Amino acid sequence: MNVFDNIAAAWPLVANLESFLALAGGIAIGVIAGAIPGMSATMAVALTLPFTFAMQPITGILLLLGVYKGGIFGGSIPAILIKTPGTPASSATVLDGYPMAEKGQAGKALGMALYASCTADMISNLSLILLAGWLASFALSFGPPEFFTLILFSLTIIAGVSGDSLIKGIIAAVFGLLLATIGLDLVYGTNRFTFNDSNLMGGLHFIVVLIGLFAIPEFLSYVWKPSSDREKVRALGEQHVTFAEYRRCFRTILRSSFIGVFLGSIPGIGAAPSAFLSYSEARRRSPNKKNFGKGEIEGVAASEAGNNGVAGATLIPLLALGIPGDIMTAIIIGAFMVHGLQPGPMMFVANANIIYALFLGLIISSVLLFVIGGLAIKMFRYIVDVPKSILMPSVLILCVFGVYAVNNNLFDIVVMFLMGWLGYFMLRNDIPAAPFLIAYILGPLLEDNFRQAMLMSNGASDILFRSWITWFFWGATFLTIAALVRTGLRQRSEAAEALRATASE
Amino acid sequence: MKLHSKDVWLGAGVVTFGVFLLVYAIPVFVSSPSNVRVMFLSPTFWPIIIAWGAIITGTLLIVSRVFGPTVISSQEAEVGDLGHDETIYAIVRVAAAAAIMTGLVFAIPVLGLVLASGLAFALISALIMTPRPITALLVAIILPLVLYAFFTHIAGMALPQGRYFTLP
Repeated sequence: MNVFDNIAAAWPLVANLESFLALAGGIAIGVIAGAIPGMSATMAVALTLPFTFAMQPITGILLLLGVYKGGIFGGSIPAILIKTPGTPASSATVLDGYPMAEKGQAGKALGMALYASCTADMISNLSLILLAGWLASFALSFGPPEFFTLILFSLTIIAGVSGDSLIKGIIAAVFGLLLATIGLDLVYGTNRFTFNDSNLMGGLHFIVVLIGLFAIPEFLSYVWKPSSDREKVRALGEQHVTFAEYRRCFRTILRSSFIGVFLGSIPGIGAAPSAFLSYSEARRRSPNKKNFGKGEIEGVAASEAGNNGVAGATLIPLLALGIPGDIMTAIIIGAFMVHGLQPGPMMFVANANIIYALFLGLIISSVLLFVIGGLAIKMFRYIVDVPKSILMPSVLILCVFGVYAVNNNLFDIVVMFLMGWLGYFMLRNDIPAAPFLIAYILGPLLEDNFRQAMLMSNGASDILFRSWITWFFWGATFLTIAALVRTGLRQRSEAAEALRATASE
Repeated sequence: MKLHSKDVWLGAGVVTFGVFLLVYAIPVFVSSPSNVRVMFLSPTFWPIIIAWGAIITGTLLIVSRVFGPTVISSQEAEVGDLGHDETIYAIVRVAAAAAIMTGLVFAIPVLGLVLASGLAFALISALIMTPRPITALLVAIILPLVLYAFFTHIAGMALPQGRYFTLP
């Protein structure tokens, strides 16, 4: 089937009220969740996931993609209005968005954030459509050794989600890999850490682990320190972005979108670095560079286009290779698995209609984001005003219902709570949870492909170097590790120097 | 140079856990058939690699903290914000939250998911001394019922009803 045949086959899957409502509802949920301080877009995607179980695969996945996209834009609302980024990706938006709000131009800043977000989102979606199919057709020639080296390389994305300490990120990943070994052995069917409990023989359910790891620690953090319920919200002030302002920023939006697409298509980099890189590039090239940081609308456009440009592009490695590009797509992969779909090159062959339906849905989502985002700006006060003292206990109850719905099993609630306490321990000790989850997803794939390769070669390890593809991924892995070590050593020496300088003062 | 003792203890804990895996947990809790000819295919191979990963990364954390510059974490800074009395209250609150979570697990088969989670909501609201008790009470009643309606009547899932009453 050619592209047009695939689009024709996919069209009925998207062109119905159910899919449309799922997408619109998802974006609305995402925008609201992103806008509420303390309720991250990641948590929103995780909590929405159990509600998709009863839906058709395409409807459920579109709902989650809507939450994802809405969440990234929604994060800009508190970033501009209360100087609190709703998502890490919106951190760069604070730099000029909040000063604009202080000058009484909050509406203008939010308007530009919306226009830049929608433009970048559309560019990112088009890039996904153009690149994912090509990459997937190339990946069809991969066998277990190629996949093993690809997944090994993908594990280096842990560096991108490790935050301040790479070593702690790797420790988290090691424990994620360990947790993934629970269950029956893939080759011999023997027990591994099951303690003869039938609940553990199938392993721990991915969704139970992720909800426990990402939602419960936020609840426990709030219990530890219940903060004030409401933040100081600014008035919208001057509301409209003029076409001349959009045109002035268009080149910046375009450049930032492509930075987002490029960085988003590389697993592990994520939206926040893209936003900051786009922002600094815009400042470097702008004739108004002196205004950056003081309320320059081009700064808002750059950071928002930078972080939204990532949204569609992170789906390139997910759909084409089955590798999650960031933590949100790591959660979305769960929705595919729940519906019996395995993202990767084979999905382009076996479920091409679903892939193309997703593409069509993503294009529609850019338009819906524009409409729903515009409404959200007008209703911002009601969104930001949700009290945390009501929100956080609600999160716990949502988690309990959602996790029970996974397998209709009380045991899953126990596992979720245990994972929640583990996540809270990690949070308190600055151990990032994202590497844990990514390793938990990639661990079984890594082991499975490694052992399949070993079965193929009867234990000869030279099969892992059998083609230029494996050599390419080995090289890329070692280069990435070398770059990480170099960066780490440089940062340490800089920190030591700074410490010496402080001591000498 | 000031030592970041918390991370050193963390590293030591990770190393100890890695050793525990190698010495006790893997031999006892991972079954391996006796006829495995290729080491790479053994069910114990991957856990052993992971255990060594824990030992190496734990050691690296210790070494980096003992010989490297001090790093004050954001969490540490946040904890430092609380005074002595507040920290004690915070510990009591978190311990009470643990008790509520445990109680919830045991209460679900007896009271049903709706009633147990509504009670848990109310108890948590009391624990955090919510400034909106009436709103909290309303949400404690309405939210579990809405979720019950969704999962039972829309998603077609069977949620535990408890021993004392049955919802439609």
